[in-house]
Amino acid sequence: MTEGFTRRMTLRGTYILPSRAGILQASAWLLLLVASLNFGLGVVLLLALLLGAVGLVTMVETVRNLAGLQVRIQAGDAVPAGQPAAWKVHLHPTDGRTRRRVRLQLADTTPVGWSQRWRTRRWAATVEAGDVPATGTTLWLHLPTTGRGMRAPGPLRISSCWPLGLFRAWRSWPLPLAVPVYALPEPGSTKSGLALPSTPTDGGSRYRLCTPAEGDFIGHRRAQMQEMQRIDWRASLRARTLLAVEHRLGITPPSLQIRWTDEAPAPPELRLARLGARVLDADGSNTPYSLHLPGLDLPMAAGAVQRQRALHALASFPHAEGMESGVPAPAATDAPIARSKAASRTELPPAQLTFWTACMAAAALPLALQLSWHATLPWVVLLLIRSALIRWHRPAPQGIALVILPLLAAGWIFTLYHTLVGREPGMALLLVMAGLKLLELRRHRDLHILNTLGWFLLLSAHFANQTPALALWDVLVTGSTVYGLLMTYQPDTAGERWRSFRRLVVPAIPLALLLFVVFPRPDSPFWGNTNDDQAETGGLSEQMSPGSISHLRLSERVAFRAHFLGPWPQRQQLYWRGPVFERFDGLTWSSISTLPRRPPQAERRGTPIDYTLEPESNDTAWVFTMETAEFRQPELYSDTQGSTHVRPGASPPAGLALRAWPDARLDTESSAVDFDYDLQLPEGNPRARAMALAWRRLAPSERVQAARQALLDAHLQYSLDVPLVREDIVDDLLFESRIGYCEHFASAFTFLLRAAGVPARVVTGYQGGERNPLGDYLIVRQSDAHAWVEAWLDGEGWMRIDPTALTLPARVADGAQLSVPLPVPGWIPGFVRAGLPVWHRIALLRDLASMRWQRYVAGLGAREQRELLQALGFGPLPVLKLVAGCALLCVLGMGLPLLPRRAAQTGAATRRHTDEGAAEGVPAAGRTKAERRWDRRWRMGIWLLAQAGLGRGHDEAPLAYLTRLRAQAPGATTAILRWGEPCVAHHYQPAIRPAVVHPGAHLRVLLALALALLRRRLAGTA
Amino acid sequence: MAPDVALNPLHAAPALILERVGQVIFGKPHQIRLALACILAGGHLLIEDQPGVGKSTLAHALAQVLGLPARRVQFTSDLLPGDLIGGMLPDTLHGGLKFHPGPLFTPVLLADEINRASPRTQSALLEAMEDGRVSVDGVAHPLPRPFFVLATQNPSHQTGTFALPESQLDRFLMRIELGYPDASAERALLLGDDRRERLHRLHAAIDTEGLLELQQRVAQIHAAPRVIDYLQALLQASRVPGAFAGRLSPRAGLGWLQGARAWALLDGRTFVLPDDLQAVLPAVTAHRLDPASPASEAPRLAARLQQAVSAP
Repeated sequence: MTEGFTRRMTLRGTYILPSRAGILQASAWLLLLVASLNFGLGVVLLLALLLGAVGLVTMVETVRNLAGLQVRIQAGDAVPAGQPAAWKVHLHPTDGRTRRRVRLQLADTTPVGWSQRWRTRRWAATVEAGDVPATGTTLWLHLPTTGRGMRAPGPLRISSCWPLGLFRAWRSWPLPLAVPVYALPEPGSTKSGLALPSTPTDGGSRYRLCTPAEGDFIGHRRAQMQEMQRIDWRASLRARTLLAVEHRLGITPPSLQIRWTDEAPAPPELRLARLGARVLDADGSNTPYSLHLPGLDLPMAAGAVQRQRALHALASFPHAEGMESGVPAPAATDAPIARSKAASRTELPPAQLTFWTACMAAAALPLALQLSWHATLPWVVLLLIRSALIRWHRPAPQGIALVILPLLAAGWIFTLYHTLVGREPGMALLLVMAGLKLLELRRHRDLHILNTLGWFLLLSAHFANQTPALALWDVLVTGSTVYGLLMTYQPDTAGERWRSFRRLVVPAIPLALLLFVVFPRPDSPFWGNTNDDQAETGGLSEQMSPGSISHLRLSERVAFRAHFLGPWPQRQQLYWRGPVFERFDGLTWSSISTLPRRPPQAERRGTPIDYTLEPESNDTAWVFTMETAEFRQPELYSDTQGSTHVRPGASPPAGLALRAWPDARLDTESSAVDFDYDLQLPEGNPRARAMALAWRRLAPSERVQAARQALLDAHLQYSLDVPLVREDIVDDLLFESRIGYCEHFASAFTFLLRAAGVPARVVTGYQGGERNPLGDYLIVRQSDAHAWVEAWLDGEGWMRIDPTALTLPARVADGAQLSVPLPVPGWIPGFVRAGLPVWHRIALLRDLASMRWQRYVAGLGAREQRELLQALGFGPLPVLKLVAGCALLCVLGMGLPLLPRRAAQTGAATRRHTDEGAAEGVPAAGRTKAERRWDRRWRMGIWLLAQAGLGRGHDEAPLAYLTRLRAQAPGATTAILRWGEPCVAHHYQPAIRPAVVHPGAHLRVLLALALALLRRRLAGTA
Repeated sequence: MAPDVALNPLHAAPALILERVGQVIFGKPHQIRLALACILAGGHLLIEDQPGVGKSTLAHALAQVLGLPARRVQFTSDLLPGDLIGGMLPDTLHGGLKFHPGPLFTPVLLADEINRASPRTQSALLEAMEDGRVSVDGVAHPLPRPFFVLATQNPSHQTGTFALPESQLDRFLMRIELGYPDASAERALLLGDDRRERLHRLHAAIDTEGLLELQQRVAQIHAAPRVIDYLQALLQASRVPGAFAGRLSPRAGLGWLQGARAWALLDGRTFVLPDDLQAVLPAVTAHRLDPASPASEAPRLAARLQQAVSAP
């Protein structure tokens, strides 16, 4: 074996590119990012940034995995043509870290294709080295040989795509190490002994056989001990091992001179082949031989060194011109030798199949719960089939099944929705696709596709739900998939794998959070973002009929939240205007929105109230604004009745800055009002009508007064227990049951006014709300839904009259929750009832958290980001600068995984420095990490003791302090000594190198000290 | 005086010395310990107190227990440098002048009532104490090794005393005060044998080689960077303008560290703690911080310096 060469892989000299799987994942990731920005899904953005950060860390880890690996390569022994030539590669991590999934590849010298430079080299030999332990590992690479010569290999490449297979790091070097390949002896004459003539006197022999005298030199052999005088120093120097001179003793076996000139005339290659056979034969029979070729003479010797030299000489003998090879080489093994299967093609073991099935089920679960069970059914079936296949160890279906199953599923969805486009059918299709991919999951390379499908499943679940719980679920599921990928590339013990996982994820979390702060938010969506199907969210509806508002009283769902910028308005001003109804059919009120009329004229008076509004969900067309509203957002518009709407196709920003004029008057001119609608009445309710008709002779304002009085005289009861509605709801309320909720009152009052000839309409919306003292904002819930009346008086315009406030002033003064308490079921025990205020406070806290989440995370928080950056002194930053900031963060974040290593190195350097410093009596400037930990332990212990009244005088020396403590705290002596003595010893004792003490050990000691002191104090107080 | 030195292993020697000196000087273990630390650190010791409290006895006892030949010189106002160093006298045998060493040429010099001598005589001691040699007519005569000066002095306000110059004081590593014995110690003193008798009965606890070896060991005691930091901070604190009448010299710092090392050795440790620095602080620093102050002021001065710096 010849001398080899050694190379060391460095961090800088290692190249890296994304693998195919990496490119796939990166494009899917980009899609995820763009979708999150476009649809304003803050949670998805956070998830995408987390995944991106993990990707970055993975990149660094991939390079780090190879950096610091030392490679030593040696060429193998000479081989006959046709046999594979071998190179020995020794991998050794210089820093003691295990290297994972290292792959060695050796290229051939002969380029494949039109250009060696631009085409991928054909890797003639690939060996998966697997994990390289700290002790190193040795591998052999083989290349096929065809003819005689020096077999030179192409470059050697060392690569790895650990940990997640997203990137491949590599380094390659040209190998200047050729293996001698000698020609094979001609067929038929290769049997040993044939070439050796039987007698030395054989005249026909072309070999000159010497008969040496006794004591003649016959060759070299490896020197033994006690034969220093026999060592041939010159030969030893050449062979680099000690060789002793061998002399013939006793009977002298013949020695052999193998000469080129002695061979029968033949083509040179044939001659060389024959000479090779002679050499092998002589070597086999241990006969000393010399080799004489034109231009080269090898002296008489025997043994391995001689054989090596002879074969090398034969192999490197120049080829005759125009004659490539006279010897027909045996059919070269064309198939690559020892070409291992690529990891991506190997089948998944059952444990991983199970893991991934569970992962994908978890990823799809939120979406499946949002869809109807019909749409989820195919997914459930596919999941069951997959589970059954795993359970009974059956292979994944292939072939025709993979064509039929998707068609079946698509057909099923089409029959459900009658379309395949749109949000819900799309989601259902995605779900089915994920199920199908899971079903055909067999190989490692499928995992990356499955992984991206998992992301999209999570993404689509977020359109309807961005709660922290779902965000947590996202993190769990994506964390599991990362772990799943790690399972593929590190089939190790779970503990090791878990360590690798932590190394990937822990640095990624702070990076992702920072990126989330800096990442630019778009001012408007990249493409149309219409909510094509308005989901019924259970709020106020487009109509009002008896019971439609009182049933909302039972709902504690938040409708919206409002922050007042100035002083808080009075409760009587908190009317949040929603749909206005003008058409009445005797039972149901509905709006006339089709009329092309101009928006109302508002005469603004009084002091305005500024506030911001945060709707809980942005899928209603209404914005419930305080009366009377003024806004500047182009996404909003006001309808004819003064209600505020979101423009179709637009999505309002998260926090709406609005202004209200509580004292404004609407439509004071009669020309602005269409009395046909506001005086329209259906048949029925004869008693109420008759009563109202009697007021027609009064002035309009007196009619309103009369209606108020009538309502008061009816002694109505405000309750949720409204009896079943009969034919004439107004008569029934005023004269029979006398029980109703606000919609009944508003309905009846409007009826009375209209019947009396006063234009009137019903306004629905919310009244009041609950002030959350924790965040100082107003929560308006569905239970605050309310209905009131507007009457038009000449000169006054539309005037708000709340018949509920007439009947039950507490409804406005205290809010719906207090004035109309929900009946508490009798089975609830007393202590729970007593604890209700506590629960209420917890609920308020939860609401605050939910509000903050909605604002800062789920709602992307573009405004909050601007505010934060301005508070940090950045001012308004253009997107370009933000992107640059992100890039900078990414670069810094990539340094994070490298940080511990660097820190350890500088720590070692500092330690050396301090040692030298101590020797010279110079005060130590820096302390090592271990020393700092000891110092912290000492100071924290003193702090703890000071808390227990055992503080240390500032000039008290350590030993004196410990002695005093021992006397003063007899109960805690053990803990004190266990804490203090090692500290003192470590600080002052010589020859104790910074002891390798786990940081946890310090913590344990401190904890024990704290406990002992606590016990002592408790005992003292007792 | 049976030499039982060989029976005592070296590490037990300090304890033995302390015990034996304690047989003569009652109730003053701390002072004895300080004196021994001073000797082990290779420094000279100044014992200051009223007459009759046992200063000379302590010096004698130390010399005797250390197994070193000692000479006593009673300093008086008419003592001349030549009386101490010796001088060139005619050589009757070979003719010419020959140096006749004075009483200074002894391992242990008991300089009794050193402040009664004139400043001229006091300064004659300077070179001897600092360099361990004496120059007469340009020829240096080395003093024996080890060489200690155990000086006693009366408080300076007594009549007929010359205050030691600052340079002289700085050459004494430590100044200690014995003080009157407490009641029980005094009773034991009164009831016991004659002091001189007991002094004669004292056996050496160590020989010269042993003492030199112990001094070697003191030099090898480890002082951690933290200790050096603390010492430096203390030295700096003494040099703050206006804080003290005198300032601690680098020589004082060196001696202090050495004294702390010796103290650590007496405690059976192989490394210095801040405790050691504090233990020798009054003895090492007081006569330097305020040369004019009596030894009874030492604790107050020491406390001021110690409190100026936070312990590590």
